[in-house]
Amino acid sequence: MATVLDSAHIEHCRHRRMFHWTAPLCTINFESTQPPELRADQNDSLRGGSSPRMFTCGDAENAFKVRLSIRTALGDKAYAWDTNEEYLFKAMVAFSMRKVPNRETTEISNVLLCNVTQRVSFWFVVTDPSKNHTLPAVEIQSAIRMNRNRINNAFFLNDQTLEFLKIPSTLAPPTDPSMPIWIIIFSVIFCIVIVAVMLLILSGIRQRRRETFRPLGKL
Amino acid sequence: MEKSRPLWANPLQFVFACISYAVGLGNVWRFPYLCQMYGGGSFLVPYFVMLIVEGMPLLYLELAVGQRMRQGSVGAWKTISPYLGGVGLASVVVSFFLSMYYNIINAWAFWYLFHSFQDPLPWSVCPLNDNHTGYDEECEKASSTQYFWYRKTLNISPSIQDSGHVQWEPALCLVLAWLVVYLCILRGTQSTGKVVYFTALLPYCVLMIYLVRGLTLHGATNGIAYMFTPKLEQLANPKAWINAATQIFFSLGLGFGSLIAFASYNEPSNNCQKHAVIVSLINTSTSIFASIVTFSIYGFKATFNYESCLNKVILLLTNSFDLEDGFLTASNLEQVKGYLASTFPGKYSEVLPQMRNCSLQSELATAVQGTGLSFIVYTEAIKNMEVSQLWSVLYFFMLLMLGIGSMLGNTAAILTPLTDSKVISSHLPKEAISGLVCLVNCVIGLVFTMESGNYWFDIFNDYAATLSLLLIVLVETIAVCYVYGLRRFESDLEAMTGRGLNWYWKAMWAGMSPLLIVSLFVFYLSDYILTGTLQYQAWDAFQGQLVTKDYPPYALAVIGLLVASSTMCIPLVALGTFITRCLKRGDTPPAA
Repeated sequence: MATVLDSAHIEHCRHRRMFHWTAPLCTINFESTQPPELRADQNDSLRGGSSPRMFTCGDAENAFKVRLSIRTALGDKAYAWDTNEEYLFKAMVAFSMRKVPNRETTEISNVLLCNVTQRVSFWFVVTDPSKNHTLPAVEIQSAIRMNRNRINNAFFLNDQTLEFLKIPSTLAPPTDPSMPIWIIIFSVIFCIVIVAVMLLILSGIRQRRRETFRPLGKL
Repeated sequence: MEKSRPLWANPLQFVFACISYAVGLGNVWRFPYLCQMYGGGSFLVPYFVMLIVEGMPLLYLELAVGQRMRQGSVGAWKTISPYLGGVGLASVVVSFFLSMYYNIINAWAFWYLFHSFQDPLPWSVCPLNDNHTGYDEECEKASSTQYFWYRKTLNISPSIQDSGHVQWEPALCLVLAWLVVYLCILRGTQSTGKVVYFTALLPYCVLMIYLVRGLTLHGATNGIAYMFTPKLEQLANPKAWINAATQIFFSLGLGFGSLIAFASYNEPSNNCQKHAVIVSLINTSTSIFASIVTFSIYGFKATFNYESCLNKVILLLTNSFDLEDGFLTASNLEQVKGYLASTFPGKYSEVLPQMRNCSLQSELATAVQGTGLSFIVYTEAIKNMEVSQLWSVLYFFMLLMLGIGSMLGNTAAILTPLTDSKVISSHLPKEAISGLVCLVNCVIGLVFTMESGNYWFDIFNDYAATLSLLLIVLVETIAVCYVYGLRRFESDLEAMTGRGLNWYWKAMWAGMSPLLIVSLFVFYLSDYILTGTLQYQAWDAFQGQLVTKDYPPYALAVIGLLVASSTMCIPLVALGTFITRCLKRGDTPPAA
């Protein structure tokens, strides 16, 4: 799967050059093609001691795919997705995991990103501090759901433009006022009409009574 | 010495009353549909021909009869010939059926009007399902506007057999609608005469505002070009001519007795010929005007849906192939699709079934008429406009004005014969008679607020008035021309108004119009007979769309009863009069 994606985006970069699209993003990634398997933080593997992770993070069972639509959300003000933004993302995920009570503290280095594509989309996993295995998906899911709003705000995006593909967003419940608005308007108009009907009937009765006391000729 | 007949305060009130009666919902939701189905701009040709040949003469005839006889429909036809009181009675029965089911439309318009004061509009979003993880299933399958109409407004049952119970919300709106109508007819011409200024003029104000807004909407020109492009081959289609004739006939409201009732309150010297021409021309131009507005809104809605469809396809492709966000646009979509299909055939064929074919033409070609147009299609367009609450309020207010204007005519057709009759008016004052009529109609109208109410509404809408009216108007024309005598009628009119009768009217009344009506009548009868069993559209909540079902036997019986109860009045009353006369004379009635 990773191979197809990579060649797709390589092909599509070439294709875009055919159409003279001048966006910088394509060029950046084009130069930095890396095998997706070990696209983890280089610093980490250099920190010595820990055995290199040999899992393809796209295949890891507790990985989540994330998809961002920055240009759709921000239009002209869209920022470029680079390694700094990735760092912020890792920080937000680590922050969400830290907020889970009774958990060991998660560091930014425990969050791994890979398969970053042009879309922008990527996979991420969160490992435990010993870096031997990944944290269960359920925990990550609930942590992200709790802090979804803050993650969205950090990137100026919303639930639709920053998608976590296996984490459903809680839809906002409809605001139900205690008294439906239409009943209020209905009651107002109803009362006005009833009052008008009463007035007309009463004036008609009064007119008729006046008629019976005066001869018809007068009218 | 009896009280003098109440009169319109000035001729303008009479003209406005006729306009507000004739210009009704049919101009807004039936004419644009016919235009679209039968050739766009070229439909105007049969329409104008039928107007001149059938519409204007018959309208003039009814106004002249009412003004001459100065009584409601029952009294007027009895004066023409004692055996023809049944014609007037048939008109009253048909008007009674009409007012029963017509006011539910006003109730629905009130419902939507009251719901327009919310942000967001309730028909623009789907409600959430029970555990808040997604949207309600029925709403997903259909659209939010269809869901609001079928589920929230009607709470429709799957078939006509499942009656359900009376829904209190539409029932409240129906009671309000009848109260408003009662308020307007309470004092007879005194109150009606003032109300018609509003019901005749306000819809035009709203239509003007909508015209300006509609023409400036994105994609409006698509709709208007689609409508006005003439498809000249439709001129050869007999259905186009038949539908033009039918539309003119029903749009002017002939045969209900309302026009006779309105004209009976005229001064005898009133120039009803001029008024007949004015009213029919205004009615036609309003239809065309409303179609321009409707089609600009159609164009906007179709373009909006087309662009949404394209955006969905773009999003699907962008996500499946991880293309850069914003790369795919409507302009390069086809090229990129071709490229992706050739380079990644496996993945492309996986994605292909989910991609819809987006076509502007197919969006424009969805022709809708009736309640579906107003409450589903228009609301869909309105929810996408800016400041949609304002447009929604304006639109439903206009529908209300049109509907109430027509209701005034319908109730006048019922009340005028009642108030004319000495028996009833000596016991009850005018207000009480109006109140009773409104109350009876309201109570029976509660049937249409049940869960199966919309199916019964369709039955009344399709069958209560169609055949009966054709027969009534046919008998009316023959009665005036041959039973009363065309020459006698001509001299009456000359004495009354001081103007002679043009040869054109005489030719039409005596020859052309009866022929046309007979051919329409024959066509409809053969159509009913040939189609065999009658069917209706039922809403299937699981699929989220309409399905066709057969009417059960008791519904067919009701249809038969509706048609029979009005048409049988004519021969029955004639027979009854004949028998009573023979008995009075003391002769034995001759063998039939």
